[in-house]
Amino acid sequence: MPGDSVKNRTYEAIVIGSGASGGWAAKELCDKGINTLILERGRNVEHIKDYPTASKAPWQFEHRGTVSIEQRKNYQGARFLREETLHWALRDDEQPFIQEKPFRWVRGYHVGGKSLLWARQTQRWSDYDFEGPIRDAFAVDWPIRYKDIEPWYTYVEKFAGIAGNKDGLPELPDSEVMPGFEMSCLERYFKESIEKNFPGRHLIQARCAHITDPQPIHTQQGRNKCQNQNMCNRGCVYGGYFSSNASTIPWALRTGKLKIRPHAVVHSIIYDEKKNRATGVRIIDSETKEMIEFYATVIFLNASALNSNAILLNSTSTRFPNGLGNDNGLLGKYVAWHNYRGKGNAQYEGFKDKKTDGRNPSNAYIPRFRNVFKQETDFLRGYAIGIGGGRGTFVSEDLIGDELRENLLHPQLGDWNISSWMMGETVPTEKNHVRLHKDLKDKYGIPQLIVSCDWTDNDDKMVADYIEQSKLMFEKAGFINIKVEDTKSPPGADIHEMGGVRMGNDQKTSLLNKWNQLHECKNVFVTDGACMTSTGTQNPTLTFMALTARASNYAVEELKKGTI
Amino acid sequence: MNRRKVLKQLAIATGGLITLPQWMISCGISDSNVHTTSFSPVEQQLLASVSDTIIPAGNSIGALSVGVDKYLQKLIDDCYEKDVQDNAKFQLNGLEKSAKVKFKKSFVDCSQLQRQELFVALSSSNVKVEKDFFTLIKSETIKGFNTSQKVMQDYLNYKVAPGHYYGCVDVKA
Repeated sequence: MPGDSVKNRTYEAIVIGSGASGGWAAKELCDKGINTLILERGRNVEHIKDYPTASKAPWQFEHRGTVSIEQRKNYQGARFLREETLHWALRDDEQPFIQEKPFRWVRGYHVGGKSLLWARQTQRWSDYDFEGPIRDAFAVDWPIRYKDIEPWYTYVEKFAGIAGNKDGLPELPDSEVMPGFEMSCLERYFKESIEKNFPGRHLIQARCAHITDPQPIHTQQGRNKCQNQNMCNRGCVYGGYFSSNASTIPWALRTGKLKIRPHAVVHSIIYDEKKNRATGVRIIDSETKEMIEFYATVIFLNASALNSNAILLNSTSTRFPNGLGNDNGLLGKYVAWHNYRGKGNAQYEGFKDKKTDGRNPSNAYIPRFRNVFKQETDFLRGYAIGIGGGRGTFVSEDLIGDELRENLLHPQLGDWNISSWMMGETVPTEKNHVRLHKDLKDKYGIPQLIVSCDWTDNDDKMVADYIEQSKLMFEKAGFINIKVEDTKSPPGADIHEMGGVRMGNDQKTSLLNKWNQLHECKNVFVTDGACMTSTGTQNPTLTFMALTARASNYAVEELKKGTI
Repeated sequence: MNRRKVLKQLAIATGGLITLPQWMISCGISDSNVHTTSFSPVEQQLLASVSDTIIPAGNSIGALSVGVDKYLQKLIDDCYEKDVQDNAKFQLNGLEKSAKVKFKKSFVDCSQLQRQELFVALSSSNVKVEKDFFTLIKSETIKGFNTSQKVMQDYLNYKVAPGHYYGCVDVKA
């Protein structure tokens, strides 16, 4: 290949993956002058230009959202199967995997990854989360505490832009915020009822990565105030919410230090046995199926939790026959996620003279109240609850003809509705794991991943408690038509899978140190969900971003000292 | 717009498609407003008439004024399996037969009440495919109507970008 040489494929840093955490690694490295390559297995997605359905009204879709049979045939098992979001769906043959037990694996394989698809909820962890494993004797102790990550939360929040309030709760430390979205009448009423009847429980407005009061740091990114479209997962032309595409990636590109290589399916990380370090990354070009090597001094692995596990497991060498950094055999084990099985809803007959106006891109939130300050139930840990309360319209569709038309054209305000969803911490166990299949490979010749994750008794007890407590809180508020149930959704439905490459102090019981470096291969950093020692109850992306910014800045210092 | 006028225009449009000379097609000249459909001209008229039966225009707007008939054709052609497509046509022709037996005229020439009677009868049928047809056409007609630009903007106050969220405002009298 003319012009191609090892030199042209050599960078100071390689970042594998371009989602929320990979984007942050690239931004921090480039800001500090490090020549960086992002390897992304999917296609490129440029902010605004590659959002084909953004800001389109329902009538602008040929089939009003339904995907045609012709377009659907390669996407039998995919999510996002709507005309609005089909461009994010994953073809069935892209990365088949084996569900030893039912598991929903939602992937975002394009530049920006799931940062274009996330729910944009950003709650901080506290030491009641970081100290969970040591207090309750599970997993291993986190090698960091809140004070280690606090400045990095602040750092990423200011840049990303977070809407919310200062709530002053020790279990959910305050963020750097812009004004939060309003609570509805019903949410405010429910808040009062909960705080009166259930001391220690709080209902707050959830903090979310939306810009409500743009600061210079946001306009410099080319981002604007959220316009309440609530079409976020199509991409946002205003840059109203945080995504790699709107924020970190264009920022990093403007430094002139970043190169993005799309269609680069990572096969493995190259380990040099003589140098005792990782020297690069092998990719398969998804279009030509050619294997190509890229080289760097530092490698950040941000391929999303399970895929980062898969890449390390497939990075074998004489030194690491069981996967890179896997001397203790724990790689791929202690995978955990969030328990979203519980769902509830109810109605309220009051506030007949009130309604909401516009659209709310966020929701209300009950931070974890179980076992926070001490153990008090027959299950470990606890759950946060998402709350959404609004007033819908009621249209009778019983009849046809003139009555139906009049009903449709003149909808009546209905009762106020409240919905509730559980976000439970799951306790990582050795049994819940991923591993590579010995024979089955995907179309790139990469071994298929076996996912073996299941609920435990602790999860079942927690769901039962959520159901009981949600009913109680609804009843005390005088709600009617209360329904709270266990949807029995499989693991992964939460899209918060974590772990497998956990952090810890001891290399015998963990894979990563307190700076997210592989204990056994210090120039490889893993800062996506794979690094999580435990899961907390908070939506995890904010923590991944803060850990990534922290680790990237550490990596730059080490690079400059020549110690890495 | 007058229902009969719309149906007549529809017939002219589909006639136009059929008689489009081959040289025009090969030169790339075609009427982009008319997509190739698996529904025959008669079935197209029947489908339009059914959607008009479900949501007649009355003194304002109905299914036909916002193009629900075109939407239904395209939706069933593109998004449903062949068994559903075949059943839709079979049921449309069935409605035509029932109209001729019961009211001695074509379904499209029946009065709103007569058409309503024939269509609603399917909803309580013991034959599964008749009920399925009723449910599909009714729900998709409502969806096509509710998601049309005219209904959303002129009646439902829809804005792509509201620019605000107020959680608790007075209901206007």
